[in-house]
Amino acid sequence: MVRRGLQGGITKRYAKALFEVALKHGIIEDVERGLSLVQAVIEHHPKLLKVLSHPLIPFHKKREMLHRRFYNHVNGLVMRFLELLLRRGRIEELKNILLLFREMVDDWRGILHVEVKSAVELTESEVERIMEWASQLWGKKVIIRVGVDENLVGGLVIKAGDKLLDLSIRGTIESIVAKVKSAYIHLAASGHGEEDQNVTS
Amino acid sequence: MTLHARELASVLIHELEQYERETEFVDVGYVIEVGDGIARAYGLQNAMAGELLLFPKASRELGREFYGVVFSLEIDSVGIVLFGPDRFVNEGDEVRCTGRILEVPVGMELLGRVVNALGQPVDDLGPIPYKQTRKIEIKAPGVVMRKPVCEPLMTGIKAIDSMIPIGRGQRELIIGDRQTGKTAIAIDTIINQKNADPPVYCIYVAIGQKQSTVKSVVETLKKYGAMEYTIVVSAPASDPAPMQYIAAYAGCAMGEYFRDNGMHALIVYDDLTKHAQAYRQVSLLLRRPAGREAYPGDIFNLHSRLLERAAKLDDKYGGGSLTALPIVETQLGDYAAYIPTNVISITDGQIYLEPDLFYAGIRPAINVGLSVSRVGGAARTNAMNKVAKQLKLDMARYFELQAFAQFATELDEVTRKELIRGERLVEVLKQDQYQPMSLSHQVLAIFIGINGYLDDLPIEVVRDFESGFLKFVDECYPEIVREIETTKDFSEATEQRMHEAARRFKKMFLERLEEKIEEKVESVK
Repeated sequence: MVRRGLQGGITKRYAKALFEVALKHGIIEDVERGLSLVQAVIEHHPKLLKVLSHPLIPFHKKREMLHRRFYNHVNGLVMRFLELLLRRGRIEELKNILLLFREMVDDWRGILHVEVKSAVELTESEVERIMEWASQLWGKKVIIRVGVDENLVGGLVIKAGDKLLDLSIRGTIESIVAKVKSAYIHLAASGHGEEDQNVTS
Repeated sequence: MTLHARELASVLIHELEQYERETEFVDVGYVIEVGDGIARAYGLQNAMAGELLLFPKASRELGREFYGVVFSLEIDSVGIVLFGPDRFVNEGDEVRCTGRILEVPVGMELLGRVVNALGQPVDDLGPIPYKQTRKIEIKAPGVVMRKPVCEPLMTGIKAIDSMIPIGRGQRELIIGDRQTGKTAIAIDTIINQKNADPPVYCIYVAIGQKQSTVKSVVETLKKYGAMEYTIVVSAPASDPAPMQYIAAYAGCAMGEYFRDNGMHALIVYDDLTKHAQAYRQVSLLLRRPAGREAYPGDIFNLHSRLLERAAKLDDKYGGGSLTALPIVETQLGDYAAYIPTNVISITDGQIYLEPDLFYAGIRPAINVGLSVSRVGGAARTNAMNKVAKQLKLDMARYFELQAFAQFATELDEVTRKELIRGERLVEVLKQDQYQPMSLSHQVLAIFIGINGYLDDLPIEVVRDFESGFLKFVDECYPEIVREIETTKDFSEATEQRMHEAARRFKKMFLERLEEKIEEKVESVK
């Protein structure tokens, strides 16, 4: 899940610009590969990003560091993009920009990420059935991520982007409780049933 | 509250049989930040402005449904105001769209109850068996549905009903410094609706007040039997700002139920200054640009759309009405501040209360010169019209002369007489709290004032004379009272009878006064 936060506008703009340029030149795969490499390096050396965003290190030294590491390994567009982020002091946003860029690429390819949570672990055939159902529903290729959440008691919760389908027992119980509660309040307040054995609310 | 088990079981069975599982996708989002009664969430792509949002996790922890409302829509996030304690909401919590707009219970079942801004009971009388709910934000009725104000709404206060008459469906602002009796006027008006015909249901919305004040208002209303036809919506100072902000709209929705069903209702917003401040707090927390006095740009619309919902409906639409008495507090009499000027321009007139008058013992402390009622004149009864036609001008002239007379050493006869008359009229218009008067009594009191029956009496006995006279007429001339109460008018013959009664009583009163003075002289000897 992308943590867009309040910087949302900025990351989105950078990601969109990169995506559009890559699309125009037909080098989406190259750019994606390059970015994966950059991400791997950053994850491997967490200090790198700190150094790159340090305000006391001059720009040319930072650029030199980037060049030394990536120049021959990534696409020229990726290199220029990293430099742009560096110059604008937005290199810290790199992780979020990459996530958003992936989302855009997936969207462009017609791939939908679906998150499925269930109370017990799903079998492979069950996952496949959900996949089939979801790809039919949205008309897209579906990539499923499964997870287990025992609090659901039973059933499934399916999430795709901002959409959520609650088919869990917990959700069902909660909505039944809310309905019975309101019916109970009406019955109790209208003063029904004063004889017999009393149930005090 | 008791139930027997069989019936509870039948409810359960019924609900379960009717239960249909909803298999629809809902829009969700996640909380980024939370605090001060507001939250910000991302996701919620299809959320609408003003939509109700559910916080499932907080609901689970709280044991009842926890809602928020979409307040601002931004590029990547949604600003939400929370209707509950924000400590139950955490960063990363799921938020669900409901596709609904906030609703509150409405109807006769709420009468006599004290509820919070969401319409949930906060008194100890158990749950409210309401049958209907209503959206809190509804567009005000248009011109086609309306009718000019034509029926009076009697406040029971002589100074108001005679000089600043209020009609049903009108919006009359009560404005003044703290401790000048603003709430007292509103409470008196509510108490006076006890015998109103057709009945007027009252809604008292307490916004940002002390809990103790709300409690004492409720006690007062109970003591005078006014709670039976009154709903109190309480959003005290301890409530989060969003609750204080929506309380006014919730109360208005409850009032609209009466208006739209051909009944009459009166709503008191006590007060809109605090309402504006609560809205300012929410707006600033959600980073809306601040304008004058740091209020957001839509503060005018906030109040105008609220007060527009007060209306007198055309007979085709049931002929109901909703009268609004908003209260605004000024600082040191500064009625040119932002919120006071806004609300003055929205309402159909204002009752301006002044501390100087209040401390001089003129209570209600109404400044006659600055108070107006722009539409209520049409609603004034004939009886009142006959006696009070010139009253407002006379009073205004008196106050002017009074200021002038302080410098003058010698006054001509006419001016002196006007001053004497004015002093007596001021005495007649004084009225104790919680003592609303019937139309006939008001008419009779003003009648003796403007016809000079008080001019030669010492100022100290004017009020005794007035109360004695009213008792005297009740006993010896009941037909006068009956005529005014039933026809809302009086004939010329009756007017003669009124003169006769005044002369008779004055004679008796003066005799008794002389006796008393003699007694005093004796005792001194």
